[in-house]
Amino acid sequence: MEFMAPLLIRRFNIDSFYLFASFTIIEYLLLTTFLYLNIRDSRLKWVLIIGSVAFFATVIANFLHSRSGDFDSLTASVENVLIIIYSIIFLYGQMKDPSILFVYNTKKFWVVIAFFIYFSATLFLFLYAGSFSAQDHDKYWYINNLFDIIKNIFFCIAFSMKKSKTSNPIENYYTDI
Amino acid sequence: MILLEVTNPGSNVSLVLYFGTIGMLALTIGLIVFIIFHQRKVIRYQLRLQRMEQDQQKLLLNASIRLQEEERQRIAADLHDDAGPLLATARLYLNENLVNLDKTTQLQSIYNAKQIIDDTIQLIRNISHSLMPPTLKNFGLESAVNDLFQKISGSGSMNASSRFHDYRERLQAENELIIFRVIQELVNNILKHSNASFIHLTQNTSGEKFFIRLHHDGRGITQNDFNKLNKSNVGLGLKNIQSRLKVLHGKIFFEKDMSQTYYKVTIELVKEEEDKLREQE
Repeated sequence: MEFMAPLLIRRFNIDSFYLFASFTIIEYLLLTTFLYLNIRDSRLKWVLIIGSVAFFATVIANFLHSRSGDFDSLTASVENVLIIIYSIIFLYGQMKDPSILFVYNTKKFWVVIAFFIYFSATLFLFLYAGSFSAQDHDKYWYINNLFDIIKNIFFCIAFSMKKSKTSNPIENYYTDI
Repeated sequence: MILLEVTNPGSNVSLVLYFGTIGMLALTIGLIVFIIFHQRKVIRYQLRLQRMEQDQQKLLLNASIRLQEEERQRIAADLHDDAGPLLATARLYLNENLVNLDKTTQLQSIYNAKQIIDDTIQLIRNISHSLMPPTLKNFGLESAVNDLFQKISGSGSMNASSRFHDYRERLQAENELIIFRVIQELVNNILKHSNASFIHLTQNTSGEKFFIRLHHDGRGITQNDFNKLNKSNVGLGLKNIQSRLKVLHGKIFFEKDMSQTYYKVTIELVKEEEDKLREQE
């Protein structure tokens, strides 16, 4: 969707701020739903709910008051921080789950790792992106593109993984022996 | 490029941006590596645990098979060495009846054969009782233990007593037999190895738990010794106790009394397990 942004801006003359903001909201919603469905501990799920309330409060505040530049720096940064926290919560849950022995044998792990790395690497970029000039944007935006590629490589790993023969990976381990 | 940006003193944004990004990446990668290594450690630990459990199971199985074989050999020896010759002798006496027609001799040989058959019946009864004590079958664990302890006390070498505090409801027959065998094995060990002057058995229940405690004043073993013997190739009787208790999901604890004078063996069973086994059947 991000690659479509210039086309949409030119073709339909949409304000880039609202376009990026709507991308951020859609991205946040999809990722949070994915993580919410995959976190088993109900107490930890509350963190996602509270975080989402905070995120939407930021989105509204940003729309109403503090719009600066073409990029929704504040909401994107809040999204980054929240997704990083959710990813850590997800990985913590996976570590504590006794039924998952080989955490890196699951598709979910690689999907979350992809986002975890991407959002960690772009956090500082998005924090500063609001105050970037067009020149700065061209200068630093390669960080986003680079980690976008890395994120997609991790996605490829996740989608190319075969499903375990049984739900308990330790059994597969024994049959492999 | 990054180095150029960092070394430019006017570029604070670049510095923070690059160092921030690198720092965040380092933290993220560190966390992922930690998770993967932690997982590997957990797997290794679990595999080691499983292997240990398998070894332990194998030891217990071997012990129970060996014990079963020993029991069979004992029964075979009893039948072959005692019952066999007795029946053969009775047959000889009865054969004599066919050869010798003298009435008095015939009566004498029939009487002798009857005596021998009576002895054989008694012998077979003894073998049968050793396999399944009739007191246990008919009157329950309490009576069987009392009977066993009376016999031990009767020998005069040791004072054995038992007290059942809460045994109004009998356990399942098979479970009673398992517990009785465990008690027998423990008492046998005390008689053989401890040089004790008394054994006292108490039975109690606490909530859903059923306890049997044995005290004696001889040389005993502690839980550490029990665990060591269980893992070694010796201590067949103890392994047998362990495998029998495993059937009942029971536990056994070997310890020294608070006064450090007596040794104490506690068998702990969960009544719920007993009920579940009953339901399954």
